[in-house]
Amino acid sequence: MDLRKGIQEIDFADMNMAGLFGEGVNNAIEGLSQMAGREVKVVSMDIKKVQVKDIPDLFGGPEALIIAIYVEIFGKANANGHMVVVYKPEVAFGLVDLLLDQQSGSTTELNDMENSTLGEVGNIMGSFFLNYLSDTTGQRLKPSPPAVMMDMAGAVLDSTLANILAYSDETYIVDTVFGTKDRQVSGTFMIIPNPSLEVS
Amino acid sequence: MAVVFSETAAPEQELHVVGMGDLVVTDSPDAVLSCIGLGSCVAVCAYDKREKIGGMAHIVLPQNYGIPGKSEAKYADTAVPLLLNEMTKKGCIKRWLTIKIAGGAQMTLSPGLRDTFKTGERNLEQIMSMLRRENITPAAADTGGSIGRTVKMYVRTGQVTVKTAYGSAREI
Repeated sequence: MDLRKGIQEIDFADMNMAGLFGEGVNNAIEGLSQMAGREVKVVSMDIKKVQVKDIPDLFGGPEALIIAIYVEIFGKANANGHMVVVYKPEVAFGLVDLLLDQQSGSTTELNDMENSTLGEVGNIMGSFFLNYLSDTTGQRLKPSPPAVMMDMAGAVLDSTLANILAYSDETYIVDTVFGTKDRQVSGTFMIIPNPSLEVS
Repeated sequence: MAVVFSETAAPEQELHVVGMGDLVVTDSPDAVLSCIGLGSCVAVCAYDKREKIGGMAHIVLPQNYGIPGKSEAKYADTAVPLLLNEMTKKGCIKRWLTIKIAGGAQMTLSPGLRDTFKTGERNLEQIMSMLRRENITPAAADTGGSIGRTVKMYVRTGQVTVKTAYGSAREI
């Protein structure tokens, strides 16, 4: 689905969550591009509505090791949503290499520097994403500082998933592949809104 | 003192994965009950060593904030009585039950991040208060911290093991 095209064709009033998120993610990658100081482009994007329970399975099962960058979204009332960017460890390491301008394969573990780099990815992507969402919906939205975690998929995601399970059994996830000319990084961008954030 | 427990690779074992908000009670001796990748969720394991009946609940949230028709096993305040009830229905006597709990971590740690939910902590609090109400003290617990856990219970022996992402399985 070509989102840029898709979003122009639809009426603003008809703008659905999926389209809104897609465009927000595009904006987030643009932020990443500015951060990296080179052109980072969205290669492909897939927006899916999924069962919350099945989410850990998308990353190789609840016991698979993943790296997640977590940002909480604050709106008018309390916490209004969550943004989670999930990478396979080797992919996240690749992203660190790309951003720190290192040779691909130099990063093999998550130390302070790598943690901080990925946290910055969360900051940039989070604020660019929210900028777009704020502009479009007129809501004032703020991101929390990012948390970078490396653990079992189920464990990393379950408090976030628990929060959404309290309201709904489904959510949106956005699979993105992005990269520069020579390197590609694929990750899953997950937006979990609380009902107050929903625009339908 | 933790005892390292090596898993016997018995092919006849039947693995029951207890998913989020699920509850399983079984008397099949070959059954292995497992909650995989627990973060803030908590696994409550109940075992009757006389009847060799095992039960496990994968609790997600402390309370149901008013959503009708949702699974009782998802919430600590309803899941604990449900687990004890199901165990009793299978023929257990409550006073012979051994309860072990694991999970309840706080995964999202970051300087300045507001812990809005503290889901793990609140889950544990609620579970402990439900158990107190039944006059039960957990025989073992491996809870808190900021680490993911996989919990397994071997119904034949009643052993409960906890494995973390970087460590090996150890019995609690």
